Amino acid sequence: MILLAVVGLLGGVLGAMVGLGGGVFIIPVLSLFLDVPIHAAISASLLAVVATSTTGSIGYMREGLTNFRLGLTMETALTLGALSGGLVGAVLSRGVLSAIFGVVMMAAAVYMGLGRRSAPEIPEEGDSLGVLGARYHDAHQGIDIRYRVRRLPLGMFLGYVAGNVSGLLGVGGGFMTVPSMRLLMAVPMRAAVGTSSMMLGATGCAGAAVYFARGLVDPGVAVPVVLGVAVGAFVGSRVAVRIKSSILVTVLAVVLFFLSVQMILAAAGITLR
Amino acid sequence: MSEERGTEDPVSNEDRRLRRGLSLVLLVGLCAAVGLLLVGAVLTLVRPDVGVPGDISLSDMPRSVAALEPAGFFTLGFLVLLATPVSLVAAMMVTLLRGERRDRLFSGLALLVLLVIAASAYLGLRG
Repeated sequence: MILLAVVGLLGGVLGAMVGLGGGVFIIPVLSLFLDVPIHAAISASLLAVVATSTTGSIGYMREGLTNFRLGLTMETALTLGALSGGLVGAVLSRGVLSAIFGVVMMAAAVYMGLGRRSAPEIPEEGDSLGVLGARYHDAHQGIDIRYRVRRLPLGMFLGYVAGNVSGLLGVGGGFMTVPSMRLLMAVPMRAAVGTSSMMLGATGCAGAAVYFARGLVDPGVAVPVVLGVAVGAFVGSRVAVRIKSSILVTVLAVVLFFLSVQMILAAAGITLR
Repeated sequence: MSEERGTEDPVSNEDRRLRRGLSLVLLVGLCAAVGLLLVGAVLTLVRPDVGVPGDISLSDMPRSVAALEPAGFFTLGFLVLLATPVSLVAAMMVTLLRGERRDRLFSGLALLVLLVIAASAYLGLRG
């Protein structure tokens, strides 16, 4: 029970810090190392994604890091992707999907980690930020950051794919939305984390509701994980607004790299145990 | 936190109110969900004779809560947790539509998200 809560706590800290739901960490740890049946692990993970998103978003909204309009726009693609996930799942095997996303994630991790951090172009004061652009106060640097959203159609397409994968793998999809916003859409890291955090709750909710209504939630697993996640996400979201953006990028790059290795190994039928 | 911190562009009181209102929706939902789960956890400790089933049932929840069984509080806690992000999107839809800018586009997107979530849950339940 305590071990499950610790797993949730770590997943919550990590997830909230970099805008992930934490599912990509929680599912493998529960199923590979703690012998939790896969359905119980996925249902606990989806509930944890909702808890991470909710807890993290409270802090990010108050700090003004959440871009509501961008979040809503991306959320339509994410939820539509989750809705059609079953169709893609019927066409592509889970192994093929894992391999594809493992390679994409590894490329994103290397790209983010090795310096090409795609510093967003900062609009001049007075320039229009467009319908989806926003600004926020960077507490670490003590300055206002303004940004304009680029390549929305590409970002929405990747959001659709992220939603698709999240339904299949039982995760929130933040492992794709944060790098997409950061690398392709010119959204600064803190805003990408805050906006992604808000989006994941609704995506995770649809998946979790199905497991819940079908009686596949094991409270002995889900309760300690969710309580641990709530505490962890509270801590993670507060840490995230006080440290350098570059540290967040590095943490995300390292997490993505390990996840990509895990996904590629899983696609090859190799488990880390 | 000063009023100017983290303001979406263009700066407006409406955005500040939106942020405060929506974070309050999340805070209330989260506190209620965590509180119910904690009550269930405490009941598990003080009533070890009742036990917790391996899965939880929606139909049995009202009776279980009335009987002060842990499973009932766990079920209710998870329900409140799942309702929280849905409430957030619903609150965004209403707030954006009723705001000074009458933001029909984003209000419509919020409605679309709610419909897709409902369709996902419905199709998922049908198997």
